Amino acid sequence: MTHQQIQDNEVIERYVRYQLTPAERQAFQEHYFACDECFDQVQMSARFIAGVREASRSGVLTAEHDERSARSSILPAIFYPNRIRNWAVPALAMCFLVASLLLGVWAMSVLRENQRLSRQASEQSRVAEELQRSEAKIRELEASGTASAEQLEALRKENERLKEEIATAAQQRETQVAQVRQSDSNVPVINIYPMGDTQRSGGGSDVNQLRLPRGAGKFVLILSDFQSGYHNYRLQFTSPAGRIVMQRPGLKADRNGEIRVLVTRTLFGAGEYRLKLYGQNNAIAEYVVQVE
Amino acid sequence: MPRPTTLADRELVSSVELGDKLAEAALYEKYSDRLYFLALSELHSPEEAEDVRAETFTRVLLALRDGKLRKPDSLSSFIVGIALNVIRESRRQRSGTEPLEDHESKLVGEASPERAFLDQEVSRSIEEVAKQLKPREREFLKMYYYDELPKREIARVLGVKEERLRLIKSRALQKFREIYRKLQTQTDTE
Repeated sequence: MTHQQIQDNEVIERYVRYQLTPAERQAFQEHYFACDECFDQVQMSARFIAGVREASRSGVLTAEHDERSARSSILPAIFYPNRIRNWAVPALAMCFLVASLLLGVWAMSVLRENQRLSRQASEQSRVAEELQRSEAKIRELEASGTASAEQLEALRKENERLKEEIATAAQQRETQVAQVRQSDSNVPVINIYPMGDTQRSGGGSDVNQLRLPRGAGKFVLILSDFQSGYHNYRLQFTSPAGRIVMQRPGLKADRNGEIRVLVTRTLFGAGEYRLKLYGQNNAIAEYVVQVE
Repeated sequence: MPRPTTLADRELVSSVELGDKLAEAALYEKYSDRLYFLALSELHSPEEAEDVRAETFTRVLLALRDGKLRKPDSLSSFIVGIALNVIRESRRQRSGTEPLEDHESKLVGEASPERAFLDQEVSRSIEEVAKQLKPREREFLKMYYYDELPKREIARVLGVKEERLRLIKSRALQKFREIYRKLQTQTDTE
């Protein structure tokens, strides 16, 4: 058996597939015992055909398997440099760029917010110190008896102003902390309207209905349509039993003439609550809220 | 075609006849893999192939020491002849000693004798080859080697010429060879 005969008649493959006659089989065995090249080829063919049959059995040669395995190649990419498609590199680069940009914007906003909070904190401590000094001065003047009644009254008014300022800052801080702890999307915001403003409160009733979603730990009330013009406001919550359950001093109206109050849900069970808004100790609006 | 190993075979035979132990080792080195492959092809059992290799070498060395090989140029044919005799004896012994149930189960097992040539590198190489082939080329390999359909039928089903099938086959084998060699190199270096 010669090399040429082996090539022409596909002897190697037929040997591996047991398609040779016993005489041909032995002749080829004697050949590959003396021929390194044919021995190498017959070994490789035996492995190849065995692998193809096994792959056919296990489904590796089907199209579905190819799609699955393309996502988890078991060999390093050096075998398949063409696998990385032309569009993949710019697409990945673009994704990375956008992600970096978003990260940068987020970092900037956090930095600015930190700076703002830092400024607020220093302002609050300044006001607190000023208040302490003012109180000490009043005590000193009262003890010495050297100050006139007008001077003392002016100092007391100044004290009140500082206290209100501190209370306002505390309210703002509480609102900010609550906003940080709970995302805005989870905090219901409800507009309420005072008694006598039935046209806007809807349904021809003075009662503002509060339907809070389950799981809402806090909610924001927006008070509108009250007599504006005061520097600070105070809101008083009265329970259905007529008991004052909460007061919020130091509230400020925004540029739209509305007041926003963050309220903790757990303080309010179901029932009808009355909310009185005061400006300089004058009741200027009353809201009726039905919590469901 | 010239046989490059003829001269070496003649020298090996004469050295073994003179009791040269190094020549015996060289003889084993030269034909060991071939003998194992031949036995594995016939018996499909690594353990039995190992036994056949050992028994064949024992007989070959005894015969050479006794000067029973008259034509040293035909050493390879001589070894193949002895190996096939050992294989026949092994088959007879197997069928004579095995319980019927075991024998039947082995016959069922012999429906896929190629399993003897499977190892991790072969499976991984085939998987990688499959990824590089077109769906139609993969389908051809399955129809040809697994379903064992005739080429003419496959050509008709796939809508390609028969000559094209031969090209697909040789290309796939070539890819397999390259990947298998790389994997073997990796395994050897690990």
